[in-house]
Amino acid sequence: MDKSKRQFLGKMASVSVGVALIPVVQVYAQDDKRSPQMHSAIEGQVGKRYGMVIDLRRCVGCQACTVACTIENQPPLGQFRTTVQQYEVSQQEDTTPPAFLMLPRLCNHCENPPCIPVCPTGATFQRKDGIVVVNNEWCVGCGYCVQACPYDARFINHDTNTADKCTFCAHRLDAGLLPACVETCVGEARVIGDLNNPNSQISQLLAANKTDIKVLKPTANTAPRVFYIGMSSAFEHKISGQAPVRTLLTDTGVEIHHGH
Amino acid sequence: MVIKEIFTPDIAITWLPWAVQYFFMMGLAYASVWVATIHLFSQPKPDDRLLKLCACLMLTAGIVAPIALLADLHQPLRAWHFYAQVRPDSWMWYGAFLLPVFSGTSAVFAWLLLRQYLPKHTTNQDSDWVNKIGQLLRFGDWNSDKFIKPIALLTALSACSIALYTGMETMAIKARPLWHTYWLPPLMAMSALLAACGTLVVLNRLLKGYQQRTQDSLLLWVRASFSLFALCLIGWALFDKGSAPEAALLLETSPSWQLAAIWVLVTLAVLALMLAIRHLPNVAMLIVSLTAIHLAWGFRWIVLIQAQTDPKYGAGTYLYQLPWGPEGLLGIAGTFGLWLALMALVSELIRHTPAAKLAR
Amino acid sequence: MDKSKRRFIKGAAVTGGVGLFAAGYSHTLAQMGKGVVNGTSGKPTQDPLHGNSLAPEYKVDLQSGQLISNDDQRVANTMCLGCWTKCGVRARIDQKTDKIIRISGNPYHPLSSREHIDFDTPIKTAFVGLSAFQEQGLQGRSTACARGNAMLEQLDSPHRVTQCLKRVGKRGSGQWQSISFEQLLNEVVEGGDLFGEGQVEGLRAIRDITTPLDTNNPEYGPKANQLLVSNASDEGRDAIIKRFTFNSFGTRNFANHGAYCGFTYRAGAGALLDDLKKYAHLKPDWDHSEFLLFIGTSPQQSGNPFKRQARQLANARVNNTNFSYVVVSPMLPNTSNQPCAGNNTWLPIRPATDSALAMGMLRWIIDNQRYAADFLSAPNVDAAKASGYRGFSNAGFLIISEPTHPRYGQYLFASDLGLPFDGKAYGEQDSQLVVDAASGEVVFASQSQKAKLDVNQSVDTPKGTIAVKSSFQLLSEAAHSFEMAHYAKECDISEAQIIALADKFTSHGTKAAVISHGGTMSANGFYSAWAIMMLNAMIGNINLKGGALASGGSFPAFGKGPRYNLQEFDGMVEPKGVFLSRSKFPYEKTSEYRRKVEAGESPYPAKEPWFPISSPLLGEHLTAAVHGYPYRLKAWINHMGNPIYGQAGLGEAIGEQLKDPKVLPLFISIDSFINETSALSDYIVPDTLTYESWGWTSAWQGTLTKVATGRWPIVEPRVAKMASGDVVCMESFLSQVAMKLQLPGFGENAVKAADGSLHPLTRAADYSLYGAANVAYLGKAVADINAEDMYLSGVSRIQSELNTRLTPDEVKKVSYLFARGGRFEEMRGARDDAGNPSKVWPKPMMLWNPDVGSRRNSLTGEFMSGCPRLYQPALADGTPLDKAFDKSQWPLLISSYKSHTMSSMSIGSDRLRQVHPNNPVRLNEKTATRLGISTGDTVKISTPNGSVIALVECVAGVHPDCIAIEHGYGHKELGARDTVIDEIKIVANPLIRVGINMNDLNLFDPSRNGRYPLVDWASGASARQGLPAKIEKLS
Ligand SMILES: Nc1nc2c(c(=O)[nH]1)N[C@H]1C(S)=C(S)[C@@H](COP(=O)(O)OP(=O)(O)OC[C@H]3O[C@@H](n4cnc5c(=O)[nH]c(N)nc54)[C@H](O)[C@@H]3O)O[C@H]1N2
Ligand SMILES: Nc1nc2c(c(=O)[nH]1)N[C@H]1C(S)=C(S)[C@@H](COP(=O)(O)OP(=O)(O)OC[C@H]3O[C@@H](n4cnc5c(=O)[nH]c(N)nc54)[C@H](O)[C@@H]3O)O[C@H]1N2
Ligand code: SF4
Ligand code: SF4
Ligand code: SF4
Ligand code: SF4
Ligand code: SF4
Ligand SMILES: [Mo]
Repeated sequence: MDKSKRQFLGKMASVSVGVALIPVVQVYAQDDKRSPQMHSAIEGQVGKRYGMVIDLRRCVGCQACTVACTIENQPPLGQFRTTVQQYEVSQQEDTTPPAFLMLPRLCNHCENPPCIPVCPTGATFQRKDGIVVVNNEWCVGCGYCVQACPYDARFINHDTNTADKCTFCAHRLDAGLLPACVETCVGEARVIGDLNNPNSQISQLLAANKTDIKVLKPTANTAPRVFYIGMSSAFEHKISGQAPVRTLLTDTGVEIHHGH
Repeated sequence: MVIKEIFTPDIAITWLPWAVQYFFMMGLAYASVWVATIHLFSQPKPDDRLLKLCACLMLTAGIVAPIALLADLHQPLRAWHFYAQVRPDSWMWYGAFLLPVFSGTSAVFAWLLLRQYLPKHTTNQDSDWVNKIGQLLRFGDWNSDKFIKPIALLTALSACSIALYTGMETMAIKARPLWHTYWLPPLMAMSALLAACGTLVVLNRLLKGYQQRTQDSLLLWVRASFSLFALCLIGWALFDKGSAPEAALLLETSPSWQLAAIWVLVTLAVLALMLAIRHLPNVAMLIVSLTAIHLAWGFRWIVLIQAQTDPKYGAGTYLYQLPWGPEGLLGIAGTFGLWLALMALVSELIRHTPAAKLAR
Repeated sequence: MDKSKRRFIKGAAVTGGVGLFAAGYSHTLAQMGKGVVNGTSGKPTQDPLHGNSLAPEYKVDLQSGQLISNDDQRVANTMCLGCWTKCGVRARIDQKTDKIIRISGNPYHPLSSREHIDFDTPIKTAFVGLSAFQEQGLQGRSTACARGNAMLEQLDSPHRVTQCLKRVGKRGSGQWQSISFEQLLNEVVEGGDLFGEGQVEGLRAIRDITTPLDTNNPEYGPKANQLLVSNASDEGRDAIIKRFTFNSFGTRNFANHGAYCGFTYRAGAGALLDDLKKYAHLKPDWDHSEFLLFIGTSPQQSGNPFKRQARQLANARVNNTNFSYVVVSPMLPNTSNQPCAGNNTWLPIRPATDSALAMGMLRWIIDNQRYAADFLSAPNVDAAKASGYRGFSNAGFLIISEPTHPRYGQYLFASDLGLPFDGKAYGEQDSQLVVDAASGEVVFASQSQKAKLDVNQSVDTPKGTIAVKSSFQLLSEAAHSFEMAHYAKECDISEAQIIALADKFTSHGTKAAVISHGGTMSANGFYSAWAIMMLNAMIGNINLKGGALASGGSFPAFGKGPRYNLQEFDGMVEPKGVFLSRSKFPYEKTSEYRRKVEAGESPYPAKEPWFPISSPLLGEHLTAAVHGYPYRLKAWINHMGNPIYGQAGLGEAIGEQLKDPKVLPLFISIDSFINETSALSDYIVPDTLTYESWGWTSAWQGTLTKVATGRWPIVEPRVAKMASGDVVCMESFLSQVAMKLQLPGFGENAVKAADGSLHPLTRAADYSLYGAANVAYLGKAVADINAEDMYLSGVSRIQSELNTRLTPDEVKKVSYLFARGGRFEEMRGARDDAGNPSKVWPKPMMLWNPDVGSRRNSLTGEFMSGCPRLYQPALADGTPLDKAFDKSQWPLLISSYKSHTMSSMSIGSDRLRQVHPNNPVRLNEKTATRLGISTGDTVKISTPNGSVIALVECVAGVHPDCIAIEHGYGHKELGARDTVIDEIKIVANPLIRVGINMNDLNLFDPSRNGRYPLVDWASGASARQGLPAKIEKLS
């Protein structure tokens, strides 16, 4: 449903339900004119459309981004806004030796994000610059958006009890800085920028590598705005392969639980 | 290309066992509404015992369910936010409205059915406090029978809306292929019916005034709902294009999914065999009922909890261990505990000696 | 059932049910309660959209580029010690709490940037350059790796040592009491009955630099040698430790972690580069190479400098045309990049067989004359320059090849032929000789334009004829000692593949390079490393664009310096005697040797091996001390090293003995944590962390510009203070000990300035501050700091400290340095106009190294080979491992690799560990199938002297004979165990214990007397790759 239609329906419903509260809080969750900072944080950088390119040819799998993000954004231990997964890729016939693929993942800030329409409270929404955010003062923690994201990009933050996810470090972008993960990317694999600006580095990268751009789960019709260079098509969809060892064991054979 | 995942984090589940309790209790409530309504309309001489049991169940389960739901919200006190926004794209948002409607109608329906069993107003000195509460709840001695059928219809409709929204809320999630199948809502509904009938059988035993006739008709209900559930399951396995293959994939690799599948199949087989027996002895009937209840609960567990261990992108399954505390076993036991307590209360409030015939 | 009974049951059901419910629902109710009070059931956040994300350190206006600082935070440039790369990083600090809240790269620092910014850039401009303004920050990224980001958690870790600790009860019991610094100082200096276990000699008693410690073996040196001082490595404070150790206390015994780091490689590279003093090595020119070969190193996963080389490699992979690389390793390394599969490959090799691969390649290159003949035959720099090379080799140099000749294996010199020479015969100015290719005459190497490469002849000398061979000839013979098929079989790489690799390597002129490192830490490691590095000599790539490059150098802080002489002082002691590890000293010069010869016995074998070409070896120091050969220790002061965790087998070999005060009477650790080694000590002196300490260090090879990383306390140190108010740390401890003992080099007038004035060396900061002044004034002095830089860089917090010791002028310049985190040469200084590196390695590449070739194995008496050749991994007495340990019982080989996330000291960081909490061992899937093992199984891995339980990951990416173990896990300390201090328990974090440490899979050398962990027989470096093992499934 497009936004204007939703707004229209919203107005209709508020009239018919007759709850005077609705328009007020509706505004509060997705816009807040009471404080100019909040208002601009909610609006985003009007005119821009943020996206990220991750050049897998450059990713060294160092996990600097993962750690930088967790320190910058302070999610609880064990919960991540971004991860870099490591895959061993080999061939059935061992004609060529196996190789590693490192796959950084984060919220795709989808153009058509399935996480938003499911939200029963409107706590999650998309800024004008495409960044998908959650208003954690409005979120009820129902977890519905978490289920609806096809990328496991969201989680219920165990500290705040609300939905959490990558914000493209909007707080930094809005301050004229780069996201933590981009800033510290050892391989220079992560490039963030304005997709609306044809001269931005991201637009140039996308243009220069036109034939080698992929997104995750293209068939989910989410229109992700995180693009990958150098990804083989086997990684476009859910991985079918051997799972990692997730158990924790000491060298005397004692199993240790994951809790932090 | 052979892919091995070497290095990935583990992701915790989002919907906790509370959700299972909600779906389960809600299922009992709406299915007992269905049983009662269908019975009312289909039988020229309705079985009062059956209606009474249904009423008890819809009332108690209908109270417990939303309480469990609240616990699955990580910000329970913000539940009012549902009503302060217009979110026409969200099934859950509709649910927020449908749920109280159902709570209201089912409570009224149950009350109407149970009213005749509540103690009449007396000035009798030796009536104890329980009795007094009962009298109060009766709201006088006027005749309410004429409201029963219209309310039954209304409640049944509301029950359908709940079955629909709970089913669709889950089914709508494309991101979980296991859920995203049109077979899911009917499976949920049929298993709810199965569980409700099973529970009614047990209640028939438990509450004073056992009636064989009630049990006989319930056996028919159990047979029917089980067959429908089994048919849906077979239909899903044979014809579904997204969810069933995903399940097959999990079965191939994950020991916990293999275990779950074996459990489902064994339970189905046991039930099928027992239900095929023409004259079930009473004990067997009890076993069948308990098995059916546990199948429906387990089905919800697999669908709602275990399905969340299926990574949306990565390989294998995430680790899940049922915690002991409120987010796990204690929460599950607590909801059942609450239900049991409510059941005891209700049964204490109402009279169990055969009542005056309903006048209609 | 009667009514009351029914009621009772129902009542029970109600109370029970409600009770259960209440218990189950209490959490929800509590959440609701919190919701009422706080408006949220969770922890309230600062911002509805950004949750708990940190407030930005400053803002940059995207239109104007204007920087608006955030007064609640400061940003300071300092150094990382998440691994031994020692990158320059920038830390954000919360002004109120004085906590470091995040760390990223220092943009001035070459190790954190691809192209660092100019040193004179104002701080503000530097900050804007990191921002989104005009997208500058994307190009100008200055990064920290995962650990670099995470190590800030160490600062306030519950497992940190912040007070002086003295053990209570037995060593290693984990029970401590805190004591004052003054008490600690007094006890360790004066000794006494310190633990109620009898008298302990203090440092005062041990410090005797005149009395020999063993009159029978006077070469062992004075009694003062019974103090061992060790330092993990130079993290910027090595100089003051050495000053104390060698020149003040006067003990010979100092060591660092080199022997269990990558010493095989350093020794092999040093042998090639004619540097067996500092063991220089080479790094490839990442930016311009066409083909790189990594054998036993994985630049995208570890290595020094890890982060920088990973980044450069990634960049080259994408941007450089005609670039490719091969990584040779038993396990698939992270350096392999599937998206660029066309230009990089993994070549699996059987562990510890690299010398076979390299010798095979050398043989093919020589046989097919694929070597750079012009380079090799140029016997001096000028001759080489004429054919476009920027270095030369000793390929044509003549070596005395008669085994019976007293100077076997050494150069034939001018003095041998009776030709004129300067200085001493065989001295530095005596000339080496070659056979001139044009004339066929034996001439001075410096005078020939082209030397004959294959020389095998006799020369007439005044003392008769001597058989000589050229270095090249000797190498060629060594390469020919085995058939290609033999090499192929040994390393399990087919002949065709060896040839293809050699062909590829020699197909890019000088735009190719090979490097190695920890992968050669095997029982034949020195020769493997040398053989690998020798490949560089074959193509003459040294000092050339696209080839193998030398270090960019440093701005030395602690030398004679333009401001302060930190190298010399009055009363400096010259340490004497034999290192405990028997390094740098030939066995043939010992009294033991002389006695045996005099007694008419065969002098071989020595009691234990001697390591004449090696630097001091910490592991061998310790085993020597425990076994009493050559002599025992009375005290050990260890600064931050963790050999018990880090050296394969060492913990099991001597851990228990080290707990015995009779074996080692006094053991003082200076550490920030209780690690596996410091856990065994008597006292722990708390030490400042890298963010709290002063220091000057440089980059390892791999940067082309001069680097001096300056470190200063960017936050208030968390350690205790001494009575004087100075912080307790390594420097203050050593200074106070020296002053208490009245040793030279410390105290009020210990440091002489350039103007002759004398200055005190008494406080923690002093030495580093003088060093800072030296760095500031080297060459063209740096600018004075201005107010803006002062404000933005956070150096204002150390002004009073600087003022205490430095002149006002020095303070301004030193502040300028610290604001930038050191001193760094501009990028433009890296290369000349042709793109060749400005800094060159001046010495020849040694095809034959006389310093090696003239030495003998002290056990067998055989000459060591003076050039690379195939040696199997072997015991000290030369027995190959596969003979010593029955293959049928020990069919597999373990090898370890560094974790790209974890280093040996980073396990305590929660935010890091959560990313990769365990290290399941990797096993080849076919091997696993054969053994009935599958992914996720629990197994027991055993070596002849140890075993551990582990989880298995079955993969394609590991050699079928190899069990691959990621290093950095399986800790027993650092928070893995409860510690009691003053009867208060610091509770362990079980997650720190997860996984296994390969070094617990012990292998003791059966050819030695006692428990000695296996080492490389030639260099004495720890052997941790290719140890025989077996694996059994448990469940
Ligand atoms: N991430 C990270 N980086 C680090 C450090 C860290 O702890 N973590 N530590 C720093 C330090 S102190 C050092 S010294 C450097 C060391 O850096 P490296 O020496 O490059 O690292 P190592 O892991 O010791 O060994 C390199 C590689 O050798 C391979 N290998 C193992 N056995 C064999 C063998 O038998 N033959 C061959 N050909 N290869 C083998 C493995 O693939 C391994 O990755 O790294 C530094 N950088
Ligand atoms: N199997 C196997 N073994 C290995 C390796 C391997 O790859 N595989 N790698 C080897 C290599 S390359 C090396 S270099 C060695 C490393 O071995 P070492 O250098 O001996 O020890 P580290 O583990 O680096 O730890 C140094 C200790 O310093 C302390 N510390 C940390 N930060 C600070 C500080 O700021 N100040 C002070 N005073 N103390 C501090 C901590 O207690 C830490 O344990 O391990 C080697 N061991
Ligand atoms: S990746 Fe997931 S959370 Fe992010 S916008 Fe898309 S659907 Fe929403
Ligand atoms: S968890 Fe919060 S953001 Fe997500 S759907 Fe529920 S209310 Fe919306
Ligand atoms: S943009 Fe920010 S929130 Fe998103 S992954 Fe990167 S660091 Fe994390
Ligand atoms: S920081 Fe960059 S290079 Fe490192 S893992 Fe993340 S995306 Fe890859
Ligand atoms: S490579 Fe990483 S851990 Fe090592 S010093 Fe640099 S930033 Fe720190
Ligand atoms: Mo090292």
